[in-house]
Amino acid sequence: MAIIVFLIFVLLILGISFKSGKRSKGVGGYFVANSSINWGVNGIAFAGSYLSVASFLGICGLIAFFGYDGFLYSIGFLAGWVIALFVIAEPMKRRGTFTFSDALNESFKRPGIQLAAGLSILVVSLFYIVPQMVGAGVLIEPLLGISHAWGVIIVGAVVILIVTTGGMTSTTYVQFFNGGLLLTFAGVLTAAILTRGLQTAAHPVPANISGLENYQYQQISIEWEGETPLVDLPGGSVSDRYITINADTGDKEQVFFLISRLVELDLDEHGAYMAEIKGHPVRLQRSDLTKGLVSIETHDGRDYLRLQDWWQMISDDNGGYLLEETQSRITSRHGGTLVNGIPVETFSHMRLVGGIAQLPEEYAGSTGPIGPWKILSVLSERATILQRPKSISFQSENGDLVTIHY
Amino acid sequence: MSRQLPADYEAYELRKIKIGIRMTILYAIVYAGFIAFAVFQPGRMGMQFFFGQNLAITYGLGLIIIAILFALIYNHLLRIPTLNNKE
Repeated sequence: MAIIVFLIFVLLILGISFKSGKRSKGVGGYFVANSSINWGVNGIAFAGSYLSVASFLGICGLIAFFGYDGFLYSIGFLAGWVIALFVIAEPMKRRGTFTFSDALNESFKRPGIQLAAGLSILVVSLFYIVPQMVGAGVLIEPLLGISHAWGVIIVGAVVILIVTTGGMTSTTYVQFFNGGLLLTFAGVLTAAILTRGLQTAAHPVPANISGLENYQYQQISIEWEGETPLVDLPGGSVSDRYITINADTGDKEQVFFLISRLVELDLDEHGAYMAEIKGHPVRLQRSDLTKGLVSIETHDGRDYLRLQDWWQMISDDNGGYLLEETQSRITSRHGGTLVNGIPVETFSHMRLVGGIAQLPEEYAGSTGPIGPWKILSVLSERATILQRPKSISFQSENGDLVTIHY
Repeated sequence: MSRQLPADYEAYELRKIKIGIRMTILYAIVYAGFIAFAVFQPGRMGMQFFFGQNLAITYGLGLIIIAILFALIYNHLLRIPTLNNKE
């Protein structure tokens, strides 16, 4: 289904490109569309190229994972546009040259200038295109299910086709289309976030049609038997551990335990097994059981799923220790991948990582619908504590590659 | 685009270039102020409140608004004086 929509979009864009390509002839048509593009269309096309993958995914990711430092990056792009407007655009238009190296050449008339300008444009474009292509692959992979490499190749081929056949005219119209869509849907996303407001992790939003309820990660207390913790989970036992040591002080920084435990299974109307993994109901496929990645045990006449997942040791308020659930992705050395203990082909959705640990007192855990200025001021108050998403990757003792999000 | 060039077009062109460069330098100073704040006084960015926001967001959004304002001013300053010569 997603592939059909994607193909429709691609054909639409190629159609726009070919149609407008017929109208642009000659060098002027190729480079500047013969100056025939309406200022409104051009403006939205610029907005669309500003909202490219670099901003849409990159800056959002930087701010989500690095906080304020990411915000500083987002202001950087803007200055380049100002310089382009005041210093470069007008003289180039007046002289009728189309590229930067042409414009320089007119003033200075030395062969080295063109080479230098051309090389610098190529280098800058290369650095800019790499994240765009990575973003293209990263977006296409979960949407269409094809591999990252193919996503990059397809997107790259389509873009090259558009630019070479239609030149600036088609590029501008495609970007106008792109920009309009992005602005509209980014606006919708923002409105949705503002309507939902902010909640702390301990104040779960009830499940509604969007299914975006919070999940309360389990915390269990542990008792020690020598070095090994005893866990109070059904059928639970510790199979592995991973410890990171602070290089400077020699203290243990983080301790993770691999716990093998039993999760209750229910039967749905077709007789397939259903388990609740991190709040999501998961239907097990027959292939999961035959591949040996998960197994079912029967105790006291009830079926249970034997699940292996990693838990993090955190300290509680009394100086003792608790174990808290984490989310994990395990690639075993035999090739299968488990997400939160379930094979990735069956169910691969992870819960949202990171969140808000504490809001200022007057909100009592949830702000409700909130305006744009208010949400910024709430987030910057001292009393608001954010949980940044953290992850750690390592190789466990039996050779599996483990990534833990906690 | 065929347009009857006014007699003082040369002066107009020089004016365009001068205004463009001056506005760029002015914006660069404002922008450099933001960066200087971020580098030398990062703590200040979080603490001062204007309209309930902290300095970082105010300054960042201010940069965007100033860029738009400058563009509009630039557009206004460089209107082509078409009728001045004919009259």
